[in-house]
Amino acid sequence: MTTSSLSRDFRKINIEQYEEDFYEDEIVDNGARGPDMNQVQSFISAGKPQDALKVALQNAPTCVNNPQTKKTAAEIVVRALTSHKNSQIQPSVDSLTPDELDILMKYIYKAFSLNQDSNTCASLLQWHDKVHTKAGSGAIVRVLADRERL
Amino acid sequence: MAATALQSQFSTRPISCFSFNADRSKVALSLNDPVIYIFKHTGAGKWAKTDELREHTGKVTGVSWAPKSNQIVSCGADRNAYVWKQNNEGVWKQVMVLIRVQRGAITVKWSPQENKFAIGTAARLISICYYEASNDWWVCKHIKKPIRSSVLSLSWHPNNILLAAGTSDFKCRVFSTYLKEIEEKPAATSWGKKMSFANLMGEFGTGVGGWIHGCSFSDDGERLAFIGHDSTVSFVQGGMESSIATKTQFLPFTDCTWISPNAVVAVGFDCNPMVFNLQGPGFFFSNKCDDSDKKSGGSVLSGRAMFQAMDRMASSTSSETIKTKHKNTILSVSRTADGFATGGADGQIIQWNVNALASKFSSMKL
Repeated sequence: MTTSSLSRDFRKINIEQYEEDFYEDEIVDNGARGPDMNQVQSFISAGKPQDALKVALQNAPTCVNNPQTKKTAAEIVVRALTSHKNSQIQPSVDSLTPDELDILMKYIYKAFSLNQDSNTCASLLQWHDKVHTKAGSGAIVRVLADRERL
Repeated sequence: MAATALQSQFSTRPISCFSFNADRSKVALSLNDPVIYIFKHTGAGKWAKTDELREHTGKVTGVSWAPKSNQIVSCGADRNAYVWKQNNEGVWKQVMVLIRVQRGAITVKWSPQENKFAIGTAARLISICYYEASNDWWVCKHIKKPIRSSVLSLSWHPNNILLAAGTSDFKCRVFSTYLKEIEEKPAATSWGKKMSFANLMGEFGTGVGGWIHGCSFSDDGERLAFIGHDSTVSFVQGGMESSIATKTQFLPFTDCTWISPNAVVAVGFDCNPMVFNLQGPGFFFSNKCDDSDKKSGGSVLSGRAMFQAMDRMASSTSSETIKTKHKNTILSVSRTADGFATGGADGQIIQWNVNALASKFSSMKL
């Protein structure tokens, strides 16, 4: 009786989009749609986690708006990360370029948000520590500040 | 050997903005409130307050002291700006400025010849103000297109016409501020030929990085450096198509300035001024100016503090104390005759001597 039966959906509209100079990101789509699952898997099976990681970090789908693409890409990367033994993590981190380290940090945070099991989380935390030591706080800041996010 | 740094503690509150006069005997600063304080140097890093300029009704966000004409311009969150002049008795009196903005002002800078100043505002525009003697006030013209967000930082080119603006739409732009009412037509520079008012000479930055907190023209105006919130330092030379960004491993910077034709110092959330040298295409990190964090860390805590530390950081020794000279974020940096001066959120202004720093850090090439 006291609640109106009219729809309240108008409250969910983002009213700012109708303003004349509403800011929209100028992200240019570079066609990257995520790493090649088969290639990564073949490197993992061959016992070459370092190469698996390198391939997994290519074609990061930072420029698309599709959350499913990003989720799939993150899962492939997590598989490459967890295929490393503890002793293999440091040489892999050392072999990455600064740009690859930035992308890896973005994937690590994306993986954190995907609610993995405890073994994967432990492995991710180890990776996070190693990448942070190498790339510094700047890599974490770029995960937050970069408009092209995962 | 001269000391590398002269520290001066002004308050426990942050120094939101500051500006020295011509010979650094006086400083005008604001402590995050609507008052501008003027201090006089009484020797050995000690300062005595001489004046309080109270006219703003909102926080003072920018202060700039013109070295030759001895005028101070201030801008605030109350959408106002004032130009202050000392009369014959030494009392500072304000002159009205009409900046015609609907949002707060963020930063203000005098031009090299001090006949105009630029104000960056949250209204997505820059106000270029010049003096009109008929009414004894300062009037302005606006630069609007294509700025899409707040203007966070400004830097004048030595030719008194070109102005670099770093904005929170992730770009740094160079505009022409040529006003035919007060100046001659400028000669062409490496940034472009056409210099009508508000003409965009160049737009730099990836557009997908971080807010551009600080930008700085070099002394000869040929080079431009700007820093972004994505922990990058970028470099452009006049005539280049796009800027070259250097990603750093540090926390983001809040301001930067050139200290020599090849070196830039950037300050920020790491509480430590960092020097970057120009090598090849872009900037390379050279050294931190404050090496106090090399001292051995950790003193044993006692009692409650020990258990708090164990709970929070799994260690029973204290690593909490900040070992740099600045105990909090450095908010701004400005060029001085023998180096640069930094003002921080810890209420300190520290004047650094670059020659002393260069002799201490061998990797620093001026």
